[in-house]
Amino acid sequence: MKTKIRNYVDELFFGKPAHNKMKDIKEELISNLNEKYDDLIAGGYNGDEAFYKVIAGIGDADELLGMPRKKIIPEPEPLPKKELRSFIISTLWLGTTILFFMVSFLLDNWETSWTIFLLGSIANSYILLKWTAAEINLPAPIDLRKQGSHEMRASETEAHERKLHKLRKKQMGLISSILWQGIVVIYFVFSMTFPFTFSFSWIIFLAGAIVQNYISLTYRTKKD
Amino acid sequence: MSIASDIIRGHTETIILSQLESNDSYGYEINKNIQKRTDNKYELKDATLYSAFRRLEDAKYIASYWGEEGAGARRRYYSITDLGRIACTQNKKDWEAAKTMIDTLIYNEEAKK
Repeated sequence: MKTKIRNYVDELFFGKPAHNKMKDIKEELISNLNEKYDDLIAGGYNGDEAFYKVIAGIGDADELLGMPRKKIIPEPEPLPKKELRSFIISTLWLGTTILFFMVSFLLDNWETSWTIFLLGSIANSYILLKWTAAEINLPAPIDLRKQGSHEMRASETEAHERKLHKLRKKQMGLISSILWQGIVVIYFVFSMTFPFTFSFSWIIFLAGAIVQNYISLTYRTKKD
Repeated sequence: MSIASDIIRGHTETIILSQLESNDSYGYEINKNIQKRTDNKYELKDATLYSAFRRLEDAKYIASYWGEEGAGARRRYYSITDLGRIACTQNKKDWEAAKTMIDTLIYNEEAKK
């Protein structure tokens, strides 16, 4: 049973960030747990009962290691439910359409007002970006109380890592789409307002390409 | 009992210091004493105890040393330092003052001079 206690503590500390005092804390904890176990057995409990009483008294594993329970970096807002998310997006497009017609009628301008839809699309991408960030920050779905093998735990972490990688790629894609849609809006609004600039205003697309490369570079180096 | 538990938990460090005032001790023994003294009504989680040990040791109120038992499962003993004794006495005074003040506030008595 003492090995069962030691294994439980190893399991508890598995996957936690390295800690120079971790070995000491583990040893102190195991020694105290063993003694508590012996006392409970002497007091009449059977092996299983004593074991469960002992591990029930441990408390929060993170507090044990002295890790802050809350993140110091402020977390982005939590991910709203699916229906709420669809509602937000539909409202966005309804609003954009209303705005389009209002602006076009009031200003009697139908040549550039269509860019409002591009702005709506940028807002859409931005909202998706926020939601992707929230999804990345969701806690990993690893159940500490599962007494599974280390291999099982490793494959779960791997799956989680792959999911995170996909989400980060999605983030990058959203940032790029915001960049390019923004450039198109600026290009058209600028060129239509100052029609003589059409011969060189396309340069903005080159600038966009430079910014895009910079973003891809930052993403790739961040990953490493 | 949960409000009382929170209040007691807030004084974990003073409780530990006062136990160490009389003799050196280790985690499980301290917890056992707490259970005995409160007639099994109160038990500290190991996590609470250990984080209190860490804070006390960082503040140099207590010092620790390893016992002689078998390797891999040695006991970690704690002893109170002079600084810790001073802190313990002060904390007890603070608790008395708080207790008196709260009593007068909730029992609508004249403040005891």
